[in-house]
Amino acid sequence: MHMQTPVKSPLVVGIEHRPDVKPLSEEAIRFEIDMCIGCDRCMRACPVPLSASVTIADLNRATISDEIAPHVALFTEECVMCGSCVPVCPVDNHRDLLMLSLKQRLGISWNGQVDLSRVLNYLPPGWNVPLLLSRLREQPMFREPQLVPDNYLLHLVASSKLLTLVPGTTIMREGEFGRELYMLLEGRVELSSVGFDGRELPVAVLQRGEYMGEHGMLTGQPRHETARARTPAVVLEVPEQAMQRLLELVPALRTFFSILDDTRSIEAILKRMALFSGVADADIRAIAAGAQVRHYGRDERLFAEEGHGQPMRETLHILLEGFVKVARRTLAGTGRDRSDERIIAYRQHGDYFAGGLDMLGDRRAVTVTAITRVRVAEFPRQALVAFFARYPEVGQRFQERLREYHESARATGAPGQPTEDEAVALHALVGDGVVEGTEVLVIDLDKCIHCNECEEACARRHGHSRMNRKGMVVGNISIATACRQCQDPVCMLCSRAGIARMPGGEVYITESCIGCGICAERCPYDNISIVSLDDDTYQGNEQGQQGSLLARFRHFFSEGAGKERGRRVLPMAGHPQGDGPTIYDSTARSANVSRIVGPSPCGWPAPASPAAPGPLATQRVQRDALGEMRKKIAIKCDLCAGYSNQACVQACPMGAALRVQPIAFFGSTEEILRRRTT
Amino acid sequence: MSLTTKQAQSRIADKQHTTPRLWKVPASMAWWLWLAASVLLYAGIFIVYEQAIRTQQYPGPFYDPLRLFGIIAFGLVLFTAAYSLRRRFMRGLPGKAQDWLWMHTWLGITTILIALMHSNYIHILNNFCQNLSCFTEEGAGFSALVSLGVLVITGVAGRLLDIWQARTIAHDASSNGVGIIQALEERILELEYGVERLCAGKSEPFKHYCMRAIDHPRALSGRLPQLQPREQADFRCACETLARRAALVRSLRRQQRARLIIRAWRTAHMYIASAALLIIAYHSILELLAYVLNIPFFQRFA
Repeated sequence: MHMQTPVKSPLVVGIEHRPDVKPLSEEAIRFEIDMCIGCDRCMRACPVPLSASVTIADLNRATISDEIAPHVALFTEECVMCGSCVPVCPVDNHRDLLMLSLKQRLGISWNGQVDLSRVLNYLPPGWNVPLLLSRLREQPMFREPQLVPDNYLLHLVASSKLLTLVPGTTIMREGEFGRELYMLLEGRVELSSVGFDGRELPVAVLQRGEYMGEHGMLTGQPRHETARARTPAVVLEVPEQAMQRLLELVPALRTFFSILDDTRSIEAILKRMALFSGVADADIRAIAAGAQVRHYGRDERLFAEEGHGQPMRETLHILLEGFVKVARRTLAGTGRDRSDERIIAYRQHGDYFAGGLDMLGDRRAVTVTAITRVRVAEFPRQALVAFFARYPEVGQRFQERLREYHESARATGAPGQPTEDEAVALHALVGDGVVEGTEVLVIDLDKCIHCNECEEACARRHGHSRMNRKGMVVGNISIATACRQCQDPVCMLCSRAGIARMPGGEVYITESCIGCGICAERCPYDNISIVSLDDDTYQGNEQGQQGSLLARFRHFFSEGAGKERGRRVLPMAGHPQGDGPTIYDSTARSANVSRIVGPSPCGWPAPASPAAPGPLATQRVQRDALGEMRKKIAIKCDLCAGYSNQACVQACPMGAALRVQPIAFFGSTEEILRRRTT
Repeated sequence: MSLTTKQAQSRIADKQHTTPRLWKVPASMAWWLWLAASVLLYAGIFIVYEQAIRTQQYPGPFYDPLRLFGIIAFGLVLFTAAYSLRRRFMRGLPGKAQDWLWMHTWLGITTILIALMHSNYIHILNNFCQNLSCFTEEGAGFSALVSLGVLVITGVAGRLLDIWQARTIAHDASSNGVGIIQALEERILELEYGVERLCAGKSEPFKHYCMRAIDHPRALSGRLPQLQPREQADFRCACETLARRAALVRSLRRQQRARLIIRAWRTAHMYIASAALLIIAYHSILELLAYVLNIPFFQRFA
């Protein structure tokens, strides 16, 4: 796969969460600085720990003068552009955009010098930096130096972990979640996968210059294969944040990976479809390569009913990711929520439409709209016709499938139309993203006595309740407001690695979190909250431990003793500066945890604890203690990762609270449609 | 060409129009385990009791095996009360809270049955009380039995009440379109803000009608105010919002009432339990000291 010509690197990186941000003009910057009254509210609202060491006067001076003090430069570098400073400004200044202008002036840190001192300590015997670079250049995406300069590669190395592996060491395991990319610099690695009979089957042997783990990095899905060192090997483990930074700097690399991922996804789906059985792998690959992949946001239309006959509708659509709703125009105001469209079906990953026509087999057009982020592969009609000419049996299968559907439709009247109750339930489950989750907290309202034990147990364990019983009600089930551990969590876009995922799938907040709220804003289900870490506001469930003697006794009698014992131990996400060993064997895999953190002896985050540096913070900078103290943190349910049970489920006296896998509990969308209300 | 991935769905012909109960949380195995344990324990003791009744001339609470039944019943009372400790103080103990609750429920019911055998049903089926002194005789044995009975009855009634009221809330939450109390309160507040926005800049009768309807939702059906034509559209909108709010307020009150009943009963059960435990402990410890450990000092009180 060849990459495009070099693309000029952007002026600012780390603002992927704000794609529509527009820098201020020089004049606007001057105006806003003139407007600033120096009240310092923006700095107090800023979650970056270093903001405590920077005054608004320093910042204003740096914004409009040529001199930028080192501590201001460092603060600017650490600013995550969360926008916390904007709503608190009494004169409506856009401090975030002022910071953007500063960032633009400072330029991109990866263009500057790189501190390789740590890496040099861990280089295998006989290795040096030029050799390391030459090995990296063997990777297909780094072959062109004019596209990816040496400096970027060195920064990438400085943000990554260099693993020296003995034979038999497991690098990644099938079914585990992980977003690191592994580049093989020396030795050989065997990829294997568990077959139908439960035995591990070798899939491939990778050699120097190859890489693995890109599927997890790009899609957030569990690993497809297990990777084990076959010979002594040297592997560069690149954290997701470092790779994302490189992709931002070199967009051609992003294109490289997206094409790779799209082609593989389409191939995998086509191979699974019975309609395409018997087609040669090479032809599957060819048709997959010819597909055009489009991305749609929530509520965006794939095609509309009124667009019948347009080229868009004459293609074969395969859903690679996400959910869509299929609707048809109805009398004004008679659809769901008094809309003028009636939802007749939902489709998800792996489903397809051909001809863009309806799901009922009556050849009437439909409107298909994305209800989550959707990735669709579109195959033009000509390509499909040419393919059918080459494989007439596939064309026949399509015709047969159509005929079956017509017959089925005639036999059952109006197939596929759910009853009203089911339609509401289905829409709630699909439309509100419940089926996207991997672990959903449900409460059976028929059993729940609303004692609030679940929330209190959560607060006892974590210092602050990470759940709320209030939530969507579907039939007798309430979907509590608690993280659902989405299959592809959109919240995981943190440049500091403040949010990470355990191999088992639990998404958790790390010690690098500074409570900037970007993840909370991205969560479509409001399942992440930001709490202040100062002593006055972060008291957990200690309300009952203050007040009159009677109140304390009553609290003691009704709630019992407050805190829960037990230490939570979670790994840091991809932090390169750990002191852990870099030589692994198969029995010492746990040593991969570069730093073990325990928020506090009883599992609560300690007030004003120092923020751990993210993987991109490779330069050791001297700073005062105040400049390291976190002001806020994000809180979210992590399924009590590190504990042997889940507090909410464990504490429910009625057994009403339960963690379920939505598809297993509610059934697939088709099963829900078929389900009879009882 | 018209194709889909899925097979056509079969039409549900016999749709029921009752409230759908679509999904069920799996029941705990502890329900069966503790029930089985309780039944076995009771059956075993009942066999011994029957044997004693047949073989002994004067079977009574002061002679084995009925005396032993009393000790077992006291042990069971303490064990049953351990649920409360588990829920409040020793949360690290193994098992889910619901498993302990089933132990609490089934052993609690078994305890009163064993205690009845311990007393040989005196004052219950025979030798009925002639005056109040029967409550204080024999170390307040009958008081302990009655208090244990009241405790178990309140527990069982409370559990049935829980089931009933929980279903009331569930039905309401699934049919009001919003959910449980917390969600309702938020939604009602939102609707009130909506009405307030509609009231802004309107005539006095408009505002008066809306405010009155917020304070007294039943006033909605009262006389409509005379309004200027330009206010009519907003008034219709306000009326719809108020009607929606009134429905939600009714739902909220139903749910609050149900929750209040659950909580009130639970509180009553806790106070009754405290009092009953004191009486039972008094009787049991006194009898143990007097007739098991044979301490003469305590025999004066027993």
